[in-house]
Amino acid sequence: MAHAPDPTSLAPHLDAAWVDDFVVRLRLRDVPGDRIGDALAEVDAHCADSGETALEAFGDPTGYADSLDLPSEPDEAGVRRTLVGSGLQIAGLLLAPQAVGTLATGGRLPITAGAVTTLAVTLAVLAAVATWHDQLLRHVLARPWPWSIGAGLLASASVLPMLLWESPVADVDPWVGIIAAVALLAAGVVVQARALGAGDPVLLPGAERPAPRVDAVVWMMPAAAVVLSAFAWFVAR
Amino acid sequence: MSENAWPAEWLRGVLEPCVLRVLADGPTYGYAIAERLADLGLGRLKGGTLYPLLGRMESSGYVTVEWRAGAGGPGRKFYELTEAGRTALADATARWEQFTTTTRSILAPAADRPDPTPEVL
Repeated sequence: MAHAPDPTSLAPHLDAAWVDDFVVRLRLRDVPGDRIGDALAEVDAHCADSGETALEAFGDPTGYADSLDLPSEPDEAGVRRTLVGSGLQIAGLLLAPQAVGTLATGGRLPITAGAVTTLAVTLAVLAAVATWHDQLLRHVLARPWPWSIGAGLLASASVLPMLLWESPVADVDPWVGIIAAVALLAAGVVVQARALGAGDPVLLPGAERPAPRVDAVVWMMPAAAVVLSAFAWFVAR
Repeated sequence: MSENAWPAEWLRGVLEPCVLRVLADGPTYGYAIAERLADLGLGRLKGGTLYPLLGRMESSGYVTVEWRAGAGGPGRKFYELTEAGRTALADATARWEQFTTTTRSILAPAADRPDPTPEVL
């Protein structure tokens, strides 16, 4: 979580890279944040006492994380809510500039086959991520570059139908489109903020759980929708 | 090889009873357990060996844990033996005595064996 303290600052006697690998490994095993903090604080205390590095005393961080055999508590509902929030916001983001552009030029807002296809592909990808997020994350962490390039290509490819396939399947009043876009974006922000706000930060023993806060990332797509809609308005005029 | 460097496969079996025995003297934390066992001649345990064992002992209900604030430094996680832990220690101690008696008699030179050895052709 963006507002949680950085785990490396929680363990001042340890090498930051070791801490990162240890925390990521336990996160992947769905170990709750307070259990991760407890294990980390114990390693930190041991190294502070013995003067050893974490690597000397505990060996490889992933191996040590696995050997602790800590209980896993996957937050499936939280992951799904985050992705549903993203889905709603993407739909709003696709709709808003089109509706605003149509309002500027006058006439009715065409719902094209390409836009419907792009939305369907995006929702399918999100559903796949929601289902296989755990395995996916392991692969992405193992090979970040090929996966980032792949994700970029997929995102670009998914917009192509909307740009190229313009046959209308229906048309609506542009105001209906604008209201729907605002409603989708607002619902997406609320759903996502709730899912992210709960969070599960790495907590040291005895530390207070920070109050839930709205993560700035939930405003990213509404902000993009405003910018793209303004652009569409000026281009159309 | 120094007398403190015991083979790892020997230590694996005896480590839990030894840790339980150190905790029988009173609640203490991981590094102090490692120090105590080193002083007693078991050799210097790696954190990567000791803490997973302590975690398993906690899951088994042999110990309870409590974080206590450190003076200036980080806090320390103290382990305290439970009744179940004391029972496990008594049981392991008795079994280990039988085991070492048995292995000593197997390893003893033929002349010192308490039992007559089978005739060798």
